Amino acid sequence: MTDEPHAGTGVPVLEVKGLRKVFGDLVAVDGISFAVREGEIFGFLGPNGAGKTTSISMICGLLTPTEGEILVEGRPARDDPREVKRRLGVVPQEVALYEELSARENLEFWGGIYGLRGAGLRARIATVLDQVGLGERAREPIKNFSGGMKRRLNLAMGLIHDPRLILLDEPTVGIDPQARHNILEVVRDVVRAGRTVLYTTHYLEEAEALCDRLAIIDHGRILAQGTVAELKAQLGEGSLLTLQGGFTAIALGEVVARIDGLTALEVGDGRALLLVARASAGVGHALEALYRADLRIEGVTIKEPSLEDLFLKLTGRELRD
Amino acid sequence: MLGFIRKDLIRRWRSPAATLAMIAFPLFMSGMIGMVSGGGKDDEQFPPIKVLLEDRDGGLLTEFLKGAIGREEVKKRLLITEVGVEGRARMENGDASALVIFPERFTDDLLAGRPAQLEVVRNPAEGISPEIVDQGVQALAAYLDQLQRLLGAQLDSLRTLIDADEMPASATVGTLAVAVNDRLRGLDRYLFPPLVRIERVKQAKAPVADRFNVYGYILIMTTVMALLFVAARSVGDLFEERKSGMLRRQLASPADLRLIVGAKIVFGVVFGLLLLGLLAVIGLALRWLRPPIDLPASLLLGACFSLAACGVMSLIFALVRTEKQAGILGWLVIMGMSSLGGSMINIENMPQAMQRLSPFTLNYWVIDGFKQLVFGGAHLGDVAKNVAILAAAGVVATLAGYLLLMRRSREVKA
Repeated sequence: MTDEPHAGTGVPVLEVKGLRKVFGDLVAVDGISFAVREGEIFGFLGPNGAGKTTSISMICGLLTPTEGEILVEGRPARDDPREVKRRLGVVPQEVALYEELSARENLEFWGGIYGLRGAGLRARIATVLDQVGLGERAREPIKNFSGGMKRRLNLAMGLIHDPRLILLDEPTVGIDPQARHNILEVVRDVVRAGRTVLYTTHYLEEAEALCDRLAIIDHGRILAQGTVAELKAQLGEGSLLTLQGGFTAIALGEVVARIDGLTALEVGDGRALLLVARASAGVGHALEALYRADLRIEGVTIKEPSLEDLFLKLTGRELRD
Repeated sequence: MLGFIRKDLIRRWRSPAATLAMIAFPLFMSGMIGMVSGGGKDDEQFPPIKVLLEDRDGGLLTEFLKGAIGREEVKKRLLITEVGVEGRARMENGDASALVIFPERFTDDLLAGRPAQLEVVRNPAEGISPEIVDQGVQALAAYLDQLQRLLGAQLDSLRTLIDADEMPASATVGTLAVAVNDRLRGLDRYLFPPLVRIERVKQAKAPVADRFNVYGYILIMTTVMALLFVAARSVGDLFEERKSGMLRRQLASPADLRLIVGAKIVFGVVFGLLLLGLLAVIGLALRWLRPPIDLPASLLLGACFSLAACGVMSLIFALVRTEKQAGILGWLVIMGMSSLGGSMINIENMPQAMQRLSPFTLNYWVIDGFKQLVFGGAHLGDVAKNVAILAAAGVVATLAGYLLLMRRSREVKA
């Protein structure tokens, strides 16, 4: 088993074009476009309130878009919303289960909604329960389950009808690292079995480790999209310097402009993110030049570029803000 | 639809606390109230009311009345003790439910056509018994008034005869008897038809006396109220599912919104009928209800009531925004309908103003229907009006509630 993301086949299972949703004066989603290819995990990365859940809600037919088009397996979703819903597996952010029922009974009910009956339903229940590691607890009322187990069953309910495209809306919120690892493994297994996943999260590490491609979303707009490598490349080749101290943005900006191979990605009073180009004289040379400028630098961090840095560069704030 | 109903039935089975409370409530109330009112099986079980009687008059009429209330059948209900001036002091000690005082010259005043007054002193610590005495004395005053108007002259002559020291002449007694007889005969056509009619009604309702049971009566009243709570809980489950995210999840599935909302209402009707059946079985086992009872008519009446109850609850819940608002408004409506419709107080005992409002409640029609079916040996034809009204209310309220709930549930998507 590997943690490396899988590449899709290139055939789009889901296409979103110019999608927009307005609630009164609030523009929740502002003209986003992306495509999810068959067999890939496409990540939707952004902070809370960025528009991820609203986008998912429009894709699965809970909300009607103000503008734009959604194609599922090439068919416009608005032409036959019920058929589109049948083809999608939706795993909501909330753990939406019936606490009084067992895992099996929850799945029986849910499978029935998708038209599964009899032996076919029983076989699918056994498969998905094994898939999420709950085969042994199938008959137990889920009010006895831990938070992680409920999350896994929540995921299983989205898989019961074996959909080609699965929408996972922050499926790991509020669970411990072990349970998170289990869920990510299930998602990888599902994709290995030929399914496609649209995965929303605000966890950078999760997105980076799991997703083949990503869209970074904030304030309802996609700021950047591509593979993790492509996104990081937007920062440039080199190392990142994070500075803290008593300097002003103007003073630092003037100094940075005089140093070859140094680019200011984000500069504020007392804090700055700088890129030291790989082709330049190096990090040591840049730091020496900065200290010589007498900027009262009190802290320096040197690291390789990450999605967090990209988000900071794109939005001017950290994803965790 | 069946999958949705099955799922909710399992949920109720696995989490039975609320359901058990809804079953226990009517049984507990019936047992309590039934015991307080003596069970209704035998009149002897109701203790006689203690009444003190102070006769300051000592005249013909008061002696006559004391003789009348000394009969055995009256003694079963009234324990009358004649007292002197110490009557009020004994009342202050709580010795009796009421003190009735015949004032001085009561007989003279009454026979002379002058206003005469009976005095009743009630025991403030008791509620029902003094009221019964008060009502009884009022009835007595009305009878005496009518008696005076009808036979005033003859009664005066009778008093003169009794007060005289010598035996009256046969001719005088005969003349008086003929006069009284003539006065009463003139009233034949007014007196006898009502008596005949009462007799006929008693014949038709003969089984009622045999089958009536206070426990069963209260069971019907309170079960109806419990079923309203069942309906509220069943429909209110939509709020819980909205809160948990389940409704949103279902709306993202191929399940139609009409199916989701409709299934909740149908579940409410089915579950209400199940509880009704269970309470009926318990009532029969405890002999609070006695067969034969027309089962199809009872089922139909119960189903129409459950439908109407779910419809009304759907309508109410569709008008509010939060689970809390739904809970408060639902409770108010249930309590309002129950108090006006006869689930808390027997309708006949309500003030006129409240009685006029009773037919606007579901409780009124279903309680009336079940009373007829259970105690009156009635059949479907007898309660057809009740069934029709509840069915019509059910269809209208359910349709309106369903449409409004659909609209409200769509908001979940946002």
